[in-house]
Amino acid sequence: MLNINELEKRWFVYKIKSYTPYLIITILILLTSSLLLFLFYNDNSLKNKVSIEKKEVKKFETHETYVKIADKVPTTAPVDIPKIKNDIQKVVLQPSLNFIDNVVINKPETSKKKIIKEKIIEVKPEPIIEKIIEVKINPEPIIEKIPVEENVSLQINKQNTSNDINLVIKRFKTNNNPALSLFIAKKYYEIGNFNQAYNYALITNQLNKDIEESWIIFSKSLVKLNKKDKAVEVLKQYVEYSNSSRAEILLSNIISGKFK
Amino acid sequence: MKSDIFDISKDVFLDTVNAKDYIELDRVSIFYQSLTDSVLKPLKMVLLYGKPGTGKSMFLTKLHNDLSATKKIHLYKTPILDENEFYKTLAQDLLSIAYDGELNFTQFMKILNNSLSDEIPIVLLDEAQLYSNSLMEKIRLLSDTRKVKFVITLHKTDKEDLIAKEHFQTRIWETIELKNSSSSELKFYIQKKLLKANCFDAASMFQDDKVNLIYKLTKGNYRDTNKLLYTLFQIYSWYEEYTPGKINKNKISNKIIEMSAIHVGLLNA
Repeated sequence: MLNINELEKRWFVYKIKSYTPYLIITILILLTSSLLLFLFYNDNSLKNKVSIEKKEVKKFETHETYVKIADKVPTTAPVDIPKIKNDIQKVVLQPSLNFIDNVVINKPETSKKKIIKEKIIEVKPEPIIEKIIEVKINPEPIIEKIPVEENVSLQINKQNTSNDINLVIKRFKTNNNPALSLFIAKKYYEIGNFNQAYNYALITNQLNKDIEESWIIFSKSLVKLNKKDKAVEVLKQYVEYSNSSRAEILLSNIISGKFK
Repeated sequence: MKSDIFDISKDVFLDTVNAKDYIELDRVSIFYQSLTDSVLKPLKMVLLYGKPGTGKSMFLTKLHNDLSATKKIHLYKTPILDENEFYKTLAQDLLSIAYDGELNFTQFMKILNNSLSDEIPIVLLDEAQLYSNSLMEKIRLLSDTRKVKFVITLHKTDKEDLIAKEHFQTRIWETIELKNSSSSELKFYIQKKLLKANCFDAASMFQDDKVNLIYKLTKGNYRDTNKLLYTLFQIYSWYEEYTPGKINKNKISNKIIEMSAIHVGLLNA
């Protein structure tokens, strides 16, 4: 007598076994296709990311060109910083000029020079800009000068907030330009952060010990931090070293108590 | 009634060798005719070989059944492995001489050569692969006397091929190889068997696709087919008795075919 129930169970096991290879093949096909799809979409998204990043990099690069050009301003003419500051306030009133200058930068060098010259002629009526031009004739006379105006104007427009100072700090960290550190020191001094003003003036002095403005800010910060004696001592040494009249005046003001 | 049909159908496929159950398929009929012709020719030996279950025993049985009325023909379905017993049996059957004592090969050869019978007797030896090599050699020598004709069947294996080569190659004038059936022959075989037993309903249940599945499982081997179908109808009888709702009586179920195959060992589960 056959045991049909047992036979049915064995048949069921046999059917499962016989379908297993097909099941495995189906699963493998599904896995492979899903993996391929995943890779395909991943690849596409990567391409998109790369293109977005490229765009960002481009933007950043253009921004950096301004920065670099701007950086050169104080190094070439550190002495003129206070003047520039005054000039800048006037230049700020000419935003349209900055925009044109940007366009000029992106053009080939040969055409740039022409355009820049034309611009210089336009600007001439303003005496301070003329001065700047005179100062910066040395390395690449015209190309560099125009961005100076832009950058300075850009910076000054935005320097009223601590975020702007942070941006300049970031730039300073990338190139260690003493003009930038001096600028930062001055801005900190203006907003009453004498500690930071002292720090950045000190850094500036370490980078370039011949910047008069930096020593003045350094000394002023010391006075504001109630370190009058140290400020006097520093200024005396600087006066001895440089014979700076501004430093001498400041020294006498500190000693007499006119500057507190 | 159906239950009776399944039971009757089951019995149709009992694995027995009976000349009445012989099914005349086209190819098999040609082989059979060829064998009959060979036997009637003045040949010393005829070799019938093939894989187990291809119908060799059925052929010999059918041949014996058909020729026994007109010829001196003797069928030995089971081998006589003792030599002495073998000669004594042949002496008894062919020459009607009974020996009580021992009868060796030399004595039997003498008796055979001295026999004056006009008609050459035919000896049908089934399962000849079971005979020893020395006895097979003596059977060859006996056939050389042309006083007796042997028709032997062998399973087709490497060993049997060797036997055929060594002992009979130069003497056998006729060899017939039996093979498994084709799919269409198998369908004809199954349906004809069922129709012979008046199982018309059961015969109509075997559509082409079902026969193809059976063929796939049995590779056209008659013995395996008989075993499979016997079990199949046994299962059908069980379902008919206990859960008749589970079976479709219009066509054979693949599931039951596979269950039968598992039971008889044609499928591993």
